[in-house]
Parts: sequence; structure tokens; C-alpha cells
Amino acid sequence: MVSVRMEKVSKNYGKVVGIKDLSLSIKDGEYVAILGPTGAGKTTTMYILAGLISPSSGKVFFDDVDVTNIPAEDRQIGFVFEEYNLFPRMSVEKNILFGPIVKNLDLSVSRKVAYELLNLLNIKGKEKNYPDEISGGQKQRVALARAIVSNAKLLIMDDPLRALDAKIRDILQVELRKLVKDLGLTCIHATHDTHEAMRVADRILIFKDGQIVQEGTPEEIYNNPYSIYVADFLGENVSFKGKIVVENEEKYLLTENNLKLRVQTDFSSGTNVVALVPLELIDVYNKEESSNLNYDNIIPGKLIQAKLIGEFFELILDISGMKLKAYELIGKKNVPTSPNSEIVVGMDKDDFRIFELKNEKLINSEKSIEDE
Amino acid sequence: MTEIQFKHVTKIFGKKVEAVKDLSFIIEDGEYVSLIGPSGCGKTTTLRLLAGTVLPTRGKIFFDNEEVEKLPIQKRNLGFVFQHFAIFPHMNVWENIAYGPTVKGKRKSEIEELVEHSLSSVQMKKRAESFPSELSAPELQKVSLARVIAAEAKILLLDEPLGALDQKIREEFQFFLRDFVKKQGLTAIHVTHDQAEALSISDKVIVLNKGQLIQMGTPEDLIFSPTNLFTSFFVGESDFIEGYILDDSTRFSKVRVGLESVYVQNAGISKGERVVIAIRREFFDVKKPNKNNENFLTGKIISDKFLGLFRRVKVLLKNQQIIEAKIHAKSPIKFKENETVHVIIDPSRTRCFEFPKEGIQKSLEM
Amino acid sequence: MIRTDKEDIEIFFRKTRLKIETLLSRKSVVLAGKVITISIFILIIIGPIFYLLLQIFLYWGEIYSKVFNDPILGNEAFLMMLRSIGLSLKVAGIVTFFDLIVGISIAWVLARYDFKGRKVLDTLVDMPMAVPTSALGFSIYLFWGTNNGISRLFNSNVGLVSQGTLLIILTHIAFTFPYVTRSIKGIIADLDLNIEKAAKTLGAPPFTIARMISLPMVKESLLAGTVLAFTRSLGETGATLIVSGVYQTAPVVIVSWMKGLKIPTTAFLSLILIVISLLLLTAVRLFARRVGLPWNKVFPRFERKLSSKKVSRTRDSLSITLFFVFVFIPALFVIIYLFQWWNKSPFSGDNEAGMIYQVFQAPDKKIDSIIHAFITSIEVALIVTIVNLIIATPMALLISKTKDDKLKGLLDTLIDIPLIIPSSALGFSIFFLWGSNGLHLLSPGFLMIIVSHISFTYAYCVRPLVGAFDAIPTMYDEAAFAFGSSKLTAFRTVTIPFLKSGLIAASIMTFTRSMSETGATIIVQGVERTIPVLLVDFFEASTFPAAAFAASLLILISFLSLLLLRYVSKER
Repeated sequence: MVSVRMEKVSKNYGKVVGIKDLSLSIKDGEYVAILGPTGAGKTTTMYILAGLISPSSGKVFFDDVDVTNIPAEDRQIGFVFEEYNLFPRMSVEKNILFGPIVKNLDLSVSRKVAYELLNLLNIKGKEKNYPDEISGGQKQRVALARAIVSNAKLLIMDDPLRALDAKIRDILQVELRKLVKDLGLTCIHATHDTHEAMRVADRILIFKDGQIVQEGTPEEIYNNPYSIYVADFLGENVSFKGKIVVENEEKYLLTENNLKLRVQTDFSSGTNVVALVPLELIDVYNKEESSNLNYDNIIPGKLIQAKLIGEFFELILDISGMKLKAYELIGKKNVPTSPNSEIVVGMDKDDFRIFELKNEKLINSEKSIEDE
Repeated sequence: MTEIQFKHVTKIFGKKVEAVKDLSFIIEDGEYVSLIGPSGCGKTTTLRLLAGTVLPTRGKIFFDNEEVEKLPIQKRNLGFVFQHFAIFPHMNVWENIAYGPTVKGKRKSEIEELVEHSLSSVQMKKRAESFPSELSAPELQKVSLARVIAAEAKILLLDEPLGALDQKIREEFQFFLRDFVKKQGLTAIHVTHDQAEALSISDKVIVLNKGQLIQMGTPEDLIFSPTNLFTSFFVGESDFIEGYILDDSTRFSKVRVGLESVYVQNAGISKGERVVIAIRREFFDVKKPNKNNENFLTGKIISDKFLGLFRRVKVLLKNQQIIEAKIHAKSPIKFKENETVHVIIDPSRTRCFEFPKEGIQKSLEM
Repeated sequence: MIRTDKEDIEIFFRKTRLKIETLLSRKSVVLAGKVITISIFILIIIGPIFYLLLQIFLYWGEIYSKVFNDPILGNEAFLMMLRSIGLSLKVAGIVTFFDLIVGISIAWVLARYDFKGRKVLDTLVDMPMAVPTSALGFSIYLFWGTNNGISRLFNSNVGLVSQGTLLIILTHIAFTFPYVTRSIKGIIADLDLNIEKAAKTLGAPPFTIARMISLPMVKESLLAGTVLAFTRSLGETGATLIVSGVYQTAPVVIVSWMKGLKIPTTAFLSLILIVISLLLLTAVRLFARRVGLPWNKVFPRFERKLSSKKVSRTRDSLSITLFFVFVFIPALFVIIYLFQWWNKSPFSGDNEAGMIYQVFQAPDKKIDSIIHAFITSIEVALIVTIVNLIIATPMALLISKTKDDKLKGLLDTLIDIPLIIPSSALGFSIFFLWGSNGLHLLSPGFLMIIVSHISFTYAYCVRPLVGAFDAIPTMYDEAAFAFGSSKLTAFRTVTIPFLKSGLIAASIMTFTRSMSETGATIIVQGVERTIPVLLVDFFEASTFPAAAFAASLLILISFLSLLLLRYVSKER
């Protein structure tokens, strides 16, 4: 219920740059995820928004009011930390009511709100327990209730699910989004986990070295990453290096090992490029099925190895001497799994994210394939 | 190599806390088995029972048909690998690896041989003189593996062995670890909170909850044929649809769901019984209504969310239950909110369970 | 061939050692070890106290008549006891109150702020604990109570504060407040700042956070430190002898009665002091967790004001100033005094009043007795340290490793007894048990000094070792066991190397404490003299410059051991 704006905010720790000239704005009731690796400036940004540290330069606005110099205790925010930070000497109930007590709110009202929240978050009955008596997932739920019980307008979460097991993380992602939307809160959620960001947020800001490198809805970012950095951060990719060629007004990528792949690109003929394809977009079929397929590129190859990794099969393929990895959802019918079987790979022209090969370094896509 | 057997093992801490309840299983010679389950499920206690640092309240434990539950840890001939390595900080790599044979009273020349062999088995020969403080996390874990080999242990107990490694290195190390265990012919028991790790590294996985064995099976078993509601719930994501059996006479049973009916795997549950159909979210298919669709439930789209790796399509079924399908990221059809759809169910990929007396929610409690 | 021979010898010795260690690791042997450990503890620490209680119970008639019904004095002895205990309690109460104010704020400053000289201040704060109280008391007396010290600033010919209650309080604050500071400083520094950040985002200003979140987390330690400070003040003898004048506190009364060999009354007073201390210890142990201070009410405006930068800065600098004016300068004033009186009186210029004459040239050859006392002190401290390391290590291991929570709690509490009961009372009960009134094994003198010192330094030795054992992750033991180590082999090869710094810390603590003790020593010394006692003798003989020489020597030694302790504990 508040809009947030940061204007050209920088923060330096001695000589180390935390964030640099960062501007962002978040609409009323919007759920925004900040996505980036450790050291990208996520926590710094969260802390500056919360007032826990002050920026070296720049301004922070809540609802167009300058709050840059207002200390955290007066900002009317809720903050959820990665490590929960529950008060160890207080019961769950006391933890949740700490905010209302120090703000001198009407406790009878706050208590009601607290119990409703506990209900919503499925932790009824733990009010008298102490933090060391409940599980990690429950702790983070308590922390969440504590953060919003005293009328927080803005919910700031700094990688809130990082310390939790996969299963709990999964459940809480759904609960978080539901709660935030039901209460109509404005929410900023920092995370290093792409899947989590896509699952909870309306919009994603991708951070690198203290700056925003791309922002948009999950789909926009996924389909059109601005840089190799973004593409690599979003997930695993296979990379093809080569040159763009034009034949019959169609653009092709001629790769180093002489694959000719139909692609969609604005780069002109002769450009040296690298093309990335997310592993989950590489569709693999048994050779017999090739006649029924409808792809821009259908390439024959061989299956080296198939491994079940939870919801996906991880397939290691060999196509014309190039080793590559592909993911197939286990729900797909007839995924080829027997080693050395003949397969075909289907890729559409818009599956390729193409970048001009100049100086931008490949971060992981090359390495992860060679390692196999 | 050693075969391990638990027979009705129960461990009660203090007077009341039942950490492990009537646990029975067999781990075969040279098998790589993982223990998974929610926190507090008893997996660490099970590992300690194996090690002998915790003794069972009731029940028996066998190593190769020899009863060991009363043997102290020293006599069990096992190797321990910890999340935080437990490499003795005041000894260098060589001395750490020599520790086992030294305290076992082996001859100097034999110790030297064992250490050399162990060092080369983890490709750490060059670091023999280094001290633990100079090693990286993966190197430390390699030293602790070498230490186990030098001690000629036959059983390897791994307590979150990859927990202190970076995410990126972890996958690589998984591969190394499994390969190493197989080459050395060890029987390995691996406790982890990361089910993806368990599924990709193990021959078999044991799912524990509240101290009880829920299911033991290969990764394929757990994913494709869970034998109970909890496994379906805990391993990956599944939806649970309630109904009752209309017809149990054919290969697939016909189940009434709300006003519709679908065919599901016949689990030998007889006509009229209340059941829960468990279906993994990857196994649903969502299609626009079409005469050719078979075996489906009708519903309305709640949301169609794009998530990169796949899309999540949430559907409100006619019986007011909500299911979520995980479909290919580039699936050609995009659904609009409130659009009527058919949720196609592949009967061979369903699991059908008796409706639990205590209710679904309760039976899934962790 | 030669190589094989060598190998044969090596393997023979190693196997034999492993076998012996395995034998000694057997359950029965370990159990026997535990029994011996606890027996020694009971014999040396609990025994004397228990014996005293028993004797008073058995000979109640005789004691009753001496204390309440003396043919000449009537119940004068009892009245004197009441007076002295009353004074002791009053002093201890006031002292503890100031200790808390100064102690907490200094701990906060040391734990939370990074400034130049923080480490120096940190060492200085600990110093009064290491310096022998008789030296400290003497120095403080010189500073406040004579015309050499503070009164010079006012051009006065007499001391600013004369011997008596106020001077006792000033002295006691100096050496007791570090117990408060020390008990919480480390914990405050280790508190998770993120928890305070969480409180901040929930709307709490800094003062409220400190009061509602941080201090409750150090509650137990603070309470333990407070009790230690209180009992230390209650039981102190050495310094109090010097600064009390005619106002005798209970431990001073014990010493003076003991000198007059009034055994029954001394026994009774000792017992009362012991009981008071034990009650306190028990109360704290039982209620520490339950004490919920009435801290839930909030005064937003007032606390916001207290949180302002101005207020907090004033508070911080005030507490540091107080430390220097009331503790540091008075405590070290004796060194200045020593230089003032080096070879002549600064007032009359008289050579015979100077330190050089008194110590080295006067016919009574004080330097000989100083050297003799010095050697005695060192011998006692060394023997006590070695013996304590031997008997305290198994006890520390037992406390740290036992899975029986009740036994652990009990031992943990019992260990603290010699820490908190007045050393003169403890000394008396040892004299009572071992001497002619009891077992008749020892008579006052060198051996009895050693026994009494072992008794009250035991806890100083056990505590750091328990800490050291607790700090070793269990996985190292488990790894060693898994490879086939017996318990003792694992202890030798894995545990001991982790223990080094803990052992050194324990030794230094024990050594320092033994070097500086006065109260118990006076009771059991017979004709022997340790250097802190000699200092009291010099003081009573009014040879101040000689006393100053001995005091400076003591301060120097304790300062050096403190630095050593710091250095060692940093190595960790």
C-alpha cells in the first residue's frame, strides 16, 4: 500500500562498491523480485530500503515522500531475514507482538491480527513455543507474521527461503505470494534462485555488480535476455558458437562443427555470434518419431546417457561430435532413455538467444558442458 | 563390502521421544543408499545407530549376519564423513590419512603403502604435506574419503557430505563421490536434506517421516511408483484427488470424482471404497475441450504461470479441488483465466490409495 | 635389516601403548576414574565445608556458650558478628550496584565500538582482577587516604577519604566491577547483530532494543557475574584489612579472631558467611532462567531520548572517565608513590624514610624477607597449578562430556562454591579439617597453604578447561572412534592438541590467583609468609615505602601474567 522509488542510490563500503547509481521504482501492491548472485548488491539494496544502512548518495522515496534520512524504526516496514532472526528469549506470540508493543499499538487489536496471521500460515497452536522448539519453515512463518502484524505497508524480504529445505521452500513460495496478494502489500523479495523469483514475483529485477542489468516480467526476461550474463543466470544453456549466414532470405547459424541451424536474429550475415538454448527447450525424440515432428531444426544424434533427476530427465547427447545436455520433463511420453539409441533433437528458431561474440565472456555455459 | 540389516529397531530418547520407530530394512553389499525426510524425521538417529554412537532401545542390527547393535563404534569397521569434514587440524594430510592404520597398530611400511594408495585414489598425492587449513572444501572432503580407505573400512557413513560445498561444485562432487564409492566397493549410507542429490546419487533411497520408514526403493520407484501418500507428497510435487471406486474389475479402476469419472491404476481397492488419486504434476496434461480427449476431468483455469523451466497451469476442477499441471515451457497453447479445459489423466501414471482414516492433511504431516 | 629392527621396536611400543590405552578405556576403569575425580573434589573442596558444618552441629553447646553466653562478654561476640556481617552486606550491596552501572556500560563500549586503544582498555579493565587485592587496597589507600595522593591536588595535608566504609566501597568497586564486565563482554560481542536489526525494523529505538532484546540474552551471565562481584566483595580480606580501619567487615573479623585463636566464634562466623554465599549461589542457579524482569512496558518517548546520540555518547565517555578516576589511577598510584619515596621522604627529605633505606639498608633487612616470601609465593603457586591441572582436567572432562544432565548441573554448581565463599572462611574450614581440630594431618604452614590454595583455585582451573572441552566439536572424537581409537587414544591424539590454549589459560589463572591470595593464607600460614601477606604486615608496621615496593612487584607480576594470558587466548 505504498509505492517505492530509489533515485541514483550508491553505497560504498570503503573502496568496495555495494550498489552504484541504482534507480528503481515499485508500484503500489506490486510484488517485485530482485534476482542476482551473492555480492550483486541485493542485501545492500534491501538494507537501504529498510533504513538499516544509509546510502552514500541518492534518495529513497516512499509514496513520493523522501525517507532517506528516516531511521528504520520509523519507516513502517516489515523485514524478513534469511536467518529468521527471531528473538530467542521470547515465545512465538511475544515475538509477533514485539512490534505492536514497542510502537504502543492497541494490543487487543494486534493480538487478533496476529492470530489471524498464524491461522493463515498454518502455525496455529505454536504461540507459546520458543523459537528453538519449532522447525525452520515454522520459524520463517513466524518471522513473516511478525513483520506484517504492525501495519507494515512495505514488506522487504532478503532471501527469506534460502536456509530452508527444498520441500518447505516450495510450499512457502506459494504461501508467500498468496499472503502478500491477499493483504495487498507492496513487496520486494531478494533471491538468488531464478525459479523462486519467477514463481513469486510480478516483475523481476536482475542485479549484477550493484546495478540492474534487466527488468521485466518473468516471461519477458526468459524469452529475451539482454546479455549472456542474464541468460546464464536464468538457467543452464547449451551454447553454439558460429557465424550467421543467409540463404534464401532465411538466417542460419553455421556452427564451428558445421551444424546449420535456422535461427531468428537481427545480426547480419558474417557476424560471429554465440547462441544459447535453454536445456529445457531442447526437445529430444526417438528417431522413429522424426517424421511427425514440426520444428525449424531437426538434427539427428545419439543418446549417450539418461539420468533421472527428479522432475526432469537429464539427457547427455552427441550431435555431430558435439556433446550437449538436455532436460525433458518426466511427464513427456516416450522420452528416449536407453544409451546409444539413435535420437533426433528439435529446436525452433526462436529458441536461440543470440549474442554477438565480442568481448563478453561466457560464464558457465561452455564450462558445464566440457565438464561432463 | 558389507550387508546391513535393521530388524525392528526403535530408539527412544529420554522417556518419550521416539526418534526411530520399528525400523526394518536391508542394505545390500556395495549398495549406495540415501536417507531423506523432513527435518526431525530420524535420519540422523538412524545414521548414529549404524555408527554405534547411539544404541537402540529395542531391535537388532546386523552387519553381514553378525549382530552388532551392542558393538562399540570402534569395532564396527566403518568410516565417517561429516559435513564439516572432521579432518584433524593439527595433523597434515598424510598424518590424517595414516591415523586409522596407526591406531589399529599396523606396521610402518604397511601404513605407508595404505596412505599412498588412498592418496592416489582421491588424486591428492601432491597435497600430502599440506595442513587442513590450506585446503579447499572439496579437497578436505577428499581427504576424509581417503582416510576411510586407509582405515580399510567397509561401510561409509556420510552425514550431509556435500552440505559445506558450493552449489556449483556439488554436482561435480556427487559424480565423484558415487564413482569413488563404487570403485572402492564400499557400502554407503548417505544422509541428506536435498532430495535431488539423493535421487541422482543413490541406488536406493529410504524415505523417513516421524521416525518411521515410509518407503525404500530406487529413485525410479519413488518417482514413478510411490507406495503411499507421503512419498507422493514428499518426493517432488503431486496433487491428490478424492473419489470412490466405481468399478475395479479391469486393469484400470474407474473412479468417481465429483460428477465425473476417470480411470486410474488398479490398486486392488474394491468397489465403493473411498480413495485418493495421487498424480505428479508433470503427469497432467491440460487441453482445450475436444471430443477426442479421453480420460479427463473438466475444470477452469485459475492461472497459467510461466516459470522458465516449465509452465504451471492451475485448474479448479468441478469438484472444487485445485490441481496444478507442470507443462513444457513452450507448450503451444496459452490459457486464459476462467477458460474451461480438460485435465487429461494418463491412467498408467496415476497412483491410487485408500483414503486415510485420519484425513489427507494429517497423513502428510511432517 | 636395521630398518626392520627399528620398525619392530616402533611397532612393539606403539602396540603396547595402544593396548594399555584400550585397557584403560574400559568402562570399569573409566568409572573408577570418575569416582576418584569426584572423591578428590569432595575431599578438597566440599569436605572442609561439610566438616565445619558437622562440627558446629556436634559442638553446638560449646559454640553457643562462646558466641551467645560468654561469662565475661555475654553475647558481645554475636553482636560483633552481626555488626560485621551487616557492614559486609551493606558494602557488598552498594558495591554491586555501582559495579552494574559501570560494568555494563564499559562492557558495552568494549564489545560494540571499535576505537583506537580498545584493546588496551580491554586489558586495563581486567587488571584489577589479576592484581593482588592487598596491593590494590594499599595503592588505593595511598591515593585517597593519605596526603601523598589526590589530596595534593587540593593542597591538603590529610587524605581525602579516611579509612572506613567509603574507602572500603571505593576499593571493592575497583576489583569487583571487572567480574560484571567480563561476564557479559564476550557474550555481547558475540550477540547476533541481525537480531537487533530485526528489532529495529519492527520499530524499536536502540535503547529499547538493548533493554528488551540484548540484555535479556546475557541475563544468566550477568547474574553470574553480579553474584561473583557481590561475593567477592563480601569475602575479600587482603585489601579490606588495609582500608577498613576500625570498621571491620566479617572476613576481617575472622582473621583477627583467628589470630586470637578464638576457634569457636571463628567457626560460627565462617559458617554464616559460607551459608550466605551458598544461598546466593543456589538462588541464582535455580531462578536465573525464571527471572523475567518487568521489561515489557515501553516508554516510547523517554527511551527515544535515551537513544539519542548525545545521550549515548555522554554515557559512554562518562563510564570510561569513571573507570580511570576511580579504578585505574588509584590502583596504580602505588608506583608513583614508590618513585616519590624512592630514596627519601618527599616531605622531610629524610633518607631513612625512603624505600631504599627501608628495604635494603635498615637492620631488619626487609629485602631478605621479601625474597623469602617471594620464593614461597612462587613455590606455592607452581605446586598448586600443577596439582590442580592434574585433578581439574578429569573433572572438566567429566562435566563437559557427561550425558547425565543432573550430574552435570550439580557438579557445575558445586565447582563454583570455592569461587564464591569468602577465602578466609574457606581457609578456616581447611585449617579446621586438616589441622589439630580435625584430621590432625597438617599444621599451619607451607603444606596447609598449598592445600587451601588448591581448594580455592580449583574452580579457576576447571572453568577454562570445561570451556575448552566444550569448544571441541564431537565429530573429531567420532571420527577417531570410527577408525578404531580407544577413548584414551582419541584423547591423547585428538583432544589434547585442541586443549593447549585452554590448559595454558587455566594455568595462568590458577597461578595468578594463588599468587595474590591473602585471606585464606593468613589463616593457615603459621610462620610462613607469602608476599601479599607480607605486604599487609609492612602496612601494619607502617613501613609504607617497603610495602609500596612489595605492592609494585606484585602488580608487575600480575600484569605480566595478564599479558601472557591475553596472548595465549588470542592464539585460539
